[in-house]
Amino acid sequence: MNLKNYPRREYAIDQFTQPHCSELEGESFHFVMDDGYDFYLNFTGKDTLEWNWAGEKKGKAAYQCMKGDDTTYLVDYELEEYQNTPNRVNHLFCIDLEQRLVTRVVCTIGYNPKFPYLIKSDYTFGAIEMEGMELPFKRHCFTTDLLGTRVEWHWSTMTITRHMYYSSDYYRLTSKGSELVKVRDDSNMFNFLPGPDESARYIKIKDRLYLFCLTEELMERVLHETNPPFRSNNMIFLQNYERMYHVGRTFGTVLNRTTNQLVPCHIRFGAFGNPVKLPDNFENASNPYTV
Amino acid sequence: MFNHIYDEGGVYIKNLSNTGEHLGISQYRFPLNYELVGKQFTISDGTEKHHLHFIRKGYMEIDGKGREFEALKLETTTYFVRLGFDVAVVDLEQGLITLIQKDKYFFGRIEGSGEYDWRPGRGEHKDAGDEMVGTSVAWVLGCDRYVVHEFIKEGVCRVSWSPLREATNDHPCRATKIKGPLYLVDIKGWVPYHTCAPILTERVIMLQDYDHLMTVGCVMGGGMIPIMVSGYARFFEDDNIVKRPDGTIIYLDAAE
Repeated sequence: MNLKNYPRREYAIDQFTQPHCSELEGESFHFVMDDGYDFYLNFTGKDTLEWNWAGEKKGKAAYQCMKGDDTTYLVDYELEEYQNTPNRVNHLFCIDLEQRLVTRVVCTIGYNPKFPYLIKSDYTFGAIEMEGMELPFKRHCFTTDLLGTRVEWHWSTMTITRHMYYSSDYYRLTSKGSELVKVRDDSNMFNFLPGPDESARYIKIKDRLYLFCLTEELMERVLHETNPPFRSNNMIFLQNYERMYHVGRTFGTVLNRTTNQLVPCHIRFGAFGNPVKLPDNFENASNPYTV
Repeated sequence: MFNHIYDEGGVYIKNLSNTGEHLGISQYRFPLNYELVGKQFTISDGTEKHHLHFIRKGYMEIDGKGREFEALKLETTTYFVRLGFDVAVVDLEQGLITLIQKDKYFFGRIEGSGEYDWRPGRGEHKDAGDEMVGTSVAWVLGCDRYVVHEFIKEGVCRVSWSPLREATNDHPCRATKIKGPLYLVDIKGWVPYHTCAPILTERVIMLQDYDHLMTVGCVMGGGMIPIMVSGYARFFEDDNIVKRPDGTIIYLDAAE
């Protein structure tokens, strides 16, 4: 049997996803956050946890977790009370046990009255309290380290995207072979965008380990009336440039092409990286979304 | 290692995607997994028993003898574990552990640990027979580093390492079916000079997942510390097909 033809389901960006990690089961964390709103996570099971803001009541959630290196975890969950509402909320933590640091990202849908699927992301840095040890004064931080990096991400055997990191607030996306496509037909939603740029943030976790955060915000503002397949998803990648792979999760709304209904999207993903040379005209094109 | 490029004005521009070269074929190795730490298993095949105790990160005991270990997780409940120069596949879903000690295969059932015990009807790890024959796949283990496996007949795998795709060698191969699309592949044989694999390589053991098309494993040889690897599958015949994020498919060799 040629196992290439194994009857697997059709994968999108989740084929090369590393498995869920349950190493944190039984662990409890007190995150001392720089915005003054401390946070507690208590991993009660292989995929369940309790969370609470300091001084507030506990909530329960099902979490997903992946590792970016041997000691760095990407944990996220949706708040149950907002599931199946237009105002879904996602909490994401990058827990760095080597440096005892944490980054918290709170993503909220439904804050914008004109664009109800847009996602707002709030980033906060902090430290992890550990008994008998002083709180570190270093922090994860926004960074320009990634600017200049061009990388090709292999998400599945056939899905290959290319990223260009050139600005602290944006990144540029293309896919292998896109330069060959000259026909502006309905099959490719990206053809209807003014440019391949999108909103992004870059956070340094440690040398060669970064959080790359993008939100399909510009796409949503331009294309929302045409009901495109992706509706302002927030994607957070924990990128390891030592090993050249990333793990991450996407949170937002997508179009179910079968039912033509918009449905919640919240999945893990992963990809393997490769250096890439991008065409000069792609690299040098101006960003049409900025003055 | 050059991780900078020049722009037109002669200014250095960093490019972090060029920084992983020193790791060779272990470049894509997944983070080590520590979920087995603290667990112990007694395994039996009906005639023989072994006891595995994962005492702390990096250290375990098998039948009371200490070993260093590294574990990589390929699937929710399946682990590839290097125990010194031996290997185990720990399958907690089915309650099974396959142990490879040198050339000896031991198909064990977990007993007496409660949660992970083997129970009747749960399946077994077994010789894959000719199930993999006809499969031809390249496992990409790092940037431009891959090994090609062509399962040409039962017990024989045609192997080549990048960049010398034409330098193929037919090596003895033993395939074990773990479950569904998961196979354990054990190939013995040398590698040519000037490939991405260490010249001391004598044996490659990989746990291959043909659903997610990813692998984890270990490259071993006399005189070298075993190298843990991970990677993804590439089918060269599909290299001209690209599926874009919105689901559209384009053919790179198409006329239009």
